[in-house]
Amino acid sequence: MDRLATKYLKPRKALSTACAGCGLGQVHKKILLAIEQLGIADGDLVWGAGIGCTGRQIFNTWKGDNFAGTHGRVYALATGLRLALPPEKKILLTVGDGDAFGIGLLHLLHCARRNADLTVIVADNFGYQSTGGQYAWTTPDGAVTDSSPHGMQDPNWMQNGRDILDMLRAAGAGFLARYTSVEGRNAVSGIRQAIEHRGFSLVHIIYPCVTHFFSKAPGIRQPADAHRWLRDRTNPSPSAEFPASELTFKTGIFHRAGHDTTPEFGEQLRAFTKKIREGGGHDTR
Amino acid sequence: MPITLLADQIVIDGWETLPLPETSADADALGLRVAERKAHPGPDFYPTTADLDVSPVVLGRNTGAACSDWTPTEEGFDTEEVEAQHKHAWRLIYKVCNNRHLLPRAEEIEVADADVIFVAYGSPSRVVKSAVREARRQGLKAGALRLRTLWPFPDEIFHRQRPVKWLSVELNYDGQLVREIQRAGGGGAHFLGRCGELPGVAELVEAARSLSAGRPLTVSDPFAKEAW
Ligand code: SF4
Repeated sequence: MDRLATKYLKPRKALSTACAGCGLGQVHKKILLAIEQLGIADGDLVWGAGIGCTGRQIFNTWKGDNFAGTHGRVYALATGLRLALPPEKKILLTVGDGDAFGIGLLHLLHCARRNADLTVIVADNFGYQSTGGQYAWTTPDGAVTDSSPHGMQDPNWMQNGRDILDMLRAAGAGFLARYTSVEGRNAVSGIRQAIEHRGFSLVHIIYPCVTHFFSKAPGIRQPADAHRWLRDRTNPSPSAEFPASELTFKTGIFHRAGHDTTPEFGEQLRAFTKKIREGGGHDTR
Repeated sequence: MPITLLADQIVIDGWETLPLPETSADADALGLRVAERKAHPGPDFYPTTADLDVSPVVLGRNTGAACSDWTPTEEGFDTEEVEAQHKHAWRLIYKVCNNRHLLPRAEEIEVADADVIFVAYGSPSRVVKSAVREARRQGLKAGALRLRTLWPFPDEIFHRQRPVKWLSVELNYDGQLVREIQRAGGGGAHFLGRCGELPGVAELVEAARSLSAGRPLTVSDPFAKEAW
C-alpha cells in the first residue's frame, strides 16, 4: 500500500487504524488502484464516509477534501454536495453494511432514485463490528453474533430470495456491482467503472472482520483462514456450480443502465432552473 | 461551533415572505451583494484564524479539509481520545461564555418601573408584548423580557432589575424556562403555560393584576399545573 499511500493518503493517516488482519485495507487499496487507473488527482474527488469500521477507519485518510455524516445520513449530505460542487468533481463514499443497508437505507434509496452522480462503496463486514459484533442486515442466516447468540434469527438482505441490489436497482440505481475483498483485478475494474459511471453507482464489497464476526460465527481466528473462507464462497462466474444450500456471493457487475435512463440529478435540476429562468415557466403536465 | 436553534411549532409552521433576488438589479434593490466565500488554505486547520468569516472546512477547494461530527485535534484530525473530547468541549464552552457580549441577549420592554415582568421566548413573546401594552393602558406596571439567547442565560439582565415578580410565559405545562428565571432572578418566579395554543392577552393582563396585588394565579383545572 506504500506507493499508493504516499500518492493519495494524508501521511498522518496512512497507517490504518483497523485491526491487524482486517480485510478493510484490501478494500481501501482496491479503491485507490481504481482511482489511480482513472488518473484522478486528490483535487478531483471529494471523499465522504459513514460511520462504523468502514467510515471510521477510512475517514479523512484521503489527501483531498473529506466529509462524514452521522450514521446513515451521508447519502443526503452527498446529494446536497453534488448540487454545490462543480459537476466534474467526483464524489465517493465509503460506508458499511449497517450504515447503507440498515440505518441509512432510506437515504440511500432516495439517493439512487434521484440518480445523483456519486459512487458508494459499501464495505460489508456482516454486521455492526465496531460496536463489538452485533448482527445487521447482511449477517448470514444462523450466524452467531453478540446479539444473535442462538444464530441469526432476523431475515437478512442477502439470502432466501432477497438481494439488496434488486431493491437499489428498482429505486433507480444506474450501476451496481458486487465483489469480495479476495478478488483482485475484476473488483478494481468494477470500482473503476462505477466511478466512471455518470449517475448513482454502488459497489458492494464483502470483507472479513477477523476480530468479531469471524471469531464468533464460523469460529475462525486466523486472518488467512478467514480470507480462505471468503474465497471458497466467492463466485465470479455465472456458470460455476455452487451448492444451492451453501452461502455464496455471486460477484461481478450486477446492473448497468443505458444512456437513455433517468437524467443525473444535478444535471436535471440545472436544466430545470435554466428553463424557468429563460422561459418564465415550465411544463407542469 | 455547534449552534442549537430552539423553535416552537408556531414558529416552525409559520410563513413569512422571503424575497429572493432573481437579477442583480433585484439584489441591488434589496441591498444585497454576493461575497465570495473564503476558505482556510490548510493543511493544519486548528485553531482557525481570528477572522470569523473563514471556515476551515469548505469542501471542494482541495485544502485537505475534513468536515465531520467527530471531535478534531489541534491539527484538524478526528480523535476518539476521551481527554480530547473534554478539552474540545471546554474550549467551545469558554469560547461562547467569553464572547457572550457578542450574542443577542434579550429585548427589554418597559422594565424600568415594572412590578411584574413577563419573560418569554419564541411565539409567546408576541402576545406578551401586546399584554404589556394592554396592562399599561389599564394602569398596571407590567414589563417584559423577550429572551433571544437561552444559553448562556442572560443572567446580567435579570440582575439589573429591581425586585419584581417574574412571570414565565411558556408553551408547556409545569414550566421549563421558569427554573432558570428562579435561579437568575433571585426567586419570585411564577409560571403560566399553554399547550397547543397561545395564551390570550386578557389572561396575561389578569395574571399581572393578580401578581401585583399579591394574589395567587387562578387555574381552571387544579390538577393541571398550568399556572403557579
Ligand atoms: S472490528 Fe473487524 S471490521 Fe472492524 S477494524 Fe477490526 S477486524 Fe476490521
